[in-house]
Amino acid sequence: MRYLVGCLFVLLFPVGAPQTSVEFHARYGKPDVERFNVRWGLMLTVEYGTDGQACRMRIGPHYDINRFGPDAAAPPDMVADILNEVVPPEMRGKELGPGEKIYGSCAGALLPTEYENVKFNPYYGLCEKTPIYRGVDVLFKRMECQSLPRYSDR
Amino acid sequence: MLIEPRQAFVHSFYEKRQSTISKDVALELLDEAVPPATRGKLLLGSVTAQTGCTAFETYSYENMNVGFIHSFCIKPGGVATVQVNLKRTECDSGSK
Repeated sequence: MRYLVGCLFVLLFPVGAPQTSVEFHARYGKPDVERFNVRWGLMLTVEYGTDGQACRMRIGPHYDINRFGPDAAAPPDMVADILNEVVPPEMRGKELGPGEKIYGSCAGALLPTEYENVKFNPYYGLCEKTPIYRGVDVLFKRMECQSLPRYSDR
Repeated sequence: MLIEPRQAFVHSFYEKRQSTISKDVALELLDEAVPPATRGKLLLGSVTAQTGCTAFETYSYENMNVGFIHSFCIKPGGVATVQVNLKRTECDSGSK
């Protein structure tokens, strides 16, 4: 029995460097950001608020975390399909129309779309002559999301 | 792995990231995440490059590469990010 308890302890609280997701969770607790490989090579990154619910999401192609964002283009219809799954229309509230241009966004880029509860900001990454759609950022407007580091800070 | 001050993960492309941690704190966190014993032999140490107010310092070990991105834009000597790239074969896919 003692041996079993010992093994369980070592599995849950490894002495060495954490290597697996389970080990990182055991040592540092709940993550504030998670990334999921959804389908069609598109990733969903979720950043949580203090209440544990999603505050920001990015849907776009896979990219290395050492980089600022994806290089590849994202097919808009596939992004929209995942967007409808994670933020269905009934969750968004009333559509308020186009939002303000985000600082530094590319010439020719689509404007954000504002809803009562959420804002969709098309993501283009590095501006090119013809802007390349690389996904969408979803910014929730809940009070609990206001304590997160700012999305855009000149 | 990235070790860096808390900041927006989902953020606009042109967001300025200004917060840094001291080199001592960066090293302490690095030692906790990847203790020196797990890194293997040091193959190439402290290759430094500087552009503007940002400097890159990289160390190549048998089992991983460790990079420090220093930012002098706001205050001198701060570490903006520590990057750890493990060299296991399982890590080779999808890192584009």
